[in-house]
Amino acid sequence: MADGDESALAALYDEWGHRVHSVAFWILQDADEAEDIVEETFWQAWRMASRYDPRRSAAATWLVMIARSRALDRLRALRRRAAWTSAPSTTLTLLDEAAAAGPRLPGAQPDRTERDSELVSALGALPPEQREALELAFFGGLSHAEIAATTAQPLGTVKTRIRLAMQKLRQRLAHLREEGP
Amino acid sequence: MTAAPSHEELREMLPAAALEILEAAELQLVLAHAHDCAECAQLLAEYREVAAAIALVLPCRQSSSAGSAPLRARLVARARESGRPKAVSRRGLSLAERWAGWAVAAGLAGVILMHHGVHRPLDYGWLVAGALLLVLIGLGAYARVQRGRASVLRSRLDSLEGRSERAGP
Repeated sequence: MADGDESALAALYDEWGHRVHSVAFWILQDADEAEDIVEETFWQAWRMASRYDPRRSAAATWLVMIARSRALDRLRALRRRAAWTSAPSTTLTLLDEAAAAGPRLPGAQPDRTERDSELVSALGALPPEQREALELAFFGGLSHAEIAATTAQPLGTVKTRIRLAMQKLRQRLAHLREEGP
Repeated sequence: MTAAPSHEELREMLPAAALEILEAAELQLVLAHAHDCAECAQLLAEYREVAAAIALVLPCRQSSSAGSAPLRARLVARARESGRPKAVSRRGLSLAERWAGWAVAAGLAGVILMHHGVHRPLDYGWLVAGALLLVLIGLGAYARVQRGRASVLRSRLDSLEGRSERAGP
């Protein structure tokens, strides 16, 4: 793609378009806004292709992180954060749904199945309060202080919950890497 | 005045940095630190992998727009019209950043030394040497800070370029 081959862009879209759309949709809760984000994401990937370093991250990682970042920007611009901050009781559903459906997701790559399963299992094993804090951060892009206000928890508690949740998930994935293929 | 965060404190901020939920000033501190600390750079990359992995296990939304042929065709047409993607030599940029501060410091020290050699060949030798050392340390520290800022600005540039291109014709 860095050589200007637009068929590579099409192939990337065919492989990861639905994933990028899912990320954007779950953040924005709007299919049309999500489609805009899909276009932004792949366009940015095309323009920045020369900066992509496959040694640093997989193409899927690169794409979904661009998509999440763009979607959170859009969310902030649309001022839809209120929807997240006012409804903390609903925020456990997404990661729960991921935990239930993850390994059977359409489009899952065979070489990613074990990793997906491991992550889904690790998500399911997180204490609910850690998962809630992680979900507010991940989908709402809320800062520590905003999550503390939303959940009525001390700031230090929120920081610890997010840090512990991420550490556990990282350790599970690192364990998988060490075992290797 | 608050003290600069320690390595341990910055390390604890890495998960939040990967989730992009830190305030701008905090994020700048973490990224600048990760730029110079191999351990934290590695950890940050791993936490970003975690964030991406979460995104990749989300339930799929197979709406009519996902994977739509018109969007695919539009992207390919835009790519064809725009020509080759930008080529940026990040390696060259990084090397220039790494040595620019020290090169300036060495050059300045050389000028001061030559000036001193011409006008006061023997007087205050140790004083001048100490002053030169301080200048070198100061400029080196300044260059280090600038490298960290460059790293942060580069991340933001990637983001802004994405937005401006979308807003363009």
